[in-house]
Amino acid sequence: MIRPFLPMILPFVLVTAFATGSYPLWRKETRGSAMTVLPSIVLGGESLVLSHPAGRLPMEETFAWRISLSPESLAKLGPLEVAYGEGQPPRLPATWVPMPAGTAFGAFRVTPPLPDDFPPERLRLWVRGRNPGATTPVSIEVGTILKSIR
Amino acid sequence: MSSTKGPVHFRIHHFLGLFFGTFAGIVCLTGSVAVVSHELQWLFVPETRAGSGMPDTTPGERWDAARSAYPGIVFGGIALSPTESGVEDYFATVVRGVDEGGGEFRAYVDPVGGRLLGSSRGVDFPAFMRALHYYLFDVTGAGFYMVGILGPILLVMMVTGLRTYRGWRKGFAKWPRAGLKPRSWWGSLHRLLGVWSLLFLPVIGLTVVWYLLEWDGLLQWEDPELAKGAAVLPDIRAVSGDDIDQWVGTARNALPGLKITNLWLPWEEGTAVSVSGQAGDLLVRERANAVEIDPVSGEVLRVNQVSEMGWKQRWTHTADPLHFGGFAGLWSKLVWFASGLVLSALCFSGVAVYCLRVSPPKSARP
Repeated sequence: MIRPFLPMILPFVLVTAFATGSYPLWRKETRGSAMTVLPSIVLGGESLVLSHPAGRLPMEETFAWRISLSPESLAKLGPLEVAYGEGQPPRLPATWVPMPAGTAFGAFRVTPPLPDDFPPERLRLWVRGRNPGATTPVSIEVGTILKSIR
Repeated sequence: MSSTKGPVHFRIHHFLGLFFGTFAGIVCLTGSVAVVSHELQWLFVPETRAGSGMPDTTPGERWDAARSAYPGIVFGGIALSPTESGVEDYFATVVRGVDEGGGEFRAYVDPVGGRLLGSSRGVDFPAFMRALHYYLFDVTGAGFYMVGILGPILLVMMVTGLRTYRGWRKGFAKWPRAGLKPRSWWGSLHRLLGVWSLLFLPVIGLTVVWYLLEWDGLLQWEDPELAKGAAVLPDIRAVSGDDIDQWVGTARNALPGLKITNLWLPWEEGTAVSVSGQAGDLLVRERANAVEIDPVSGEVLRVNQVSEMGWKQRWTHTADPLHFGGFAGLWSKLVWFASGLVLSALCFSGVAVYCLRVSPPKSARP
């Protein structure tokens, strides 16, 4: 009885299923992520707050650090740079990645490259500014925090 | 499935209608709603409504109102009108940004008085309807093709339908008569809707074909690349209302007569502040006329002007107003909305004809 109507019903069902299945991913892209906020750190006398998408690891494509600071702090510290390292700040200039602050999308978000020998327990995120008084990097331990996500 | 006999154009019309009729009707219906989606949102979401009276605040004042209310948001643009034409004065100004989690954020500011009306995050109703109609929410691109293929299909069905309906020229006033059997009644309605859709279907079908060719890169008539090499702002959050007003003034001086609809801050390093709007040209989208300004020096880097475009570039900016119907504000939208409903009904009535054709007669039912 239903057979004559199948050529009409099937495309409708397939398209509806397709749109329904696509919707969550599309919505996620516009909605953004819940963020995990870490304890603030002090650089050059100014307070910085770091956060990252909750439940994600640094090696994931959608992971990025977000650095929140006031416009006045940014003016004082100068452009910020970040890098992964361990007990000491990384020495190679190429390791440091600038944090964008002058664009509308992706501003204050940065994804530094992970070291090849990724040491989860000892991993630290180092931050420095370009202005005098901010060039001495400060860091925050991220290894144990990220390990707890796994 | 019952076999179909008849001339080849009838069989083609039947075959395409069978497989694509329901889907096409849904896409036409979603498009109809999308045309008036901003107005529907206006009806149900008070924050999106402007107050009555003439705007008495500058864009910069509205920008500052949003910044003050939402200090954690990185604002990147201001829409003085959320639609293409810029003629609707009943919409609140939308200040657009990105929230802490990277999601879309909108602050609504009343242009009359500059009062903050509210905010929304993520998807709003116009974006929802647009994504559903345009590409079925699919971010990979397959959804776009699924919808886009309906353009040429509808054009083929229009031609084959006219070949099947020989007396179509006299069909504009042939309403379905009361007392007809259901199959005949629906067939009569389908023919009536078909001839009336001749005023609209070619516009929709041809613009969709254009979109397919443009998406594939087979026809690329877009403007040359946007200006690059602009200076980078040290901190986008430091952009103030005075900066916004200064850029607005610069744009108006560079392109006299520009009715500004949107201002966008640089979205990647090296790009400029973009101020766009309508400049009295017929049937062009709002970004066709645009002034690009260096965000640090305030220097005008580039002016895109419809009056200086060749016909290819001009067509690129005309397809959207023809497809969306918002070129003259609410009135043209209502015409497009009604026409879209006619198209939808045309598709569904064709489906009904088929269903009644293959349904067993009442006497044969148990």
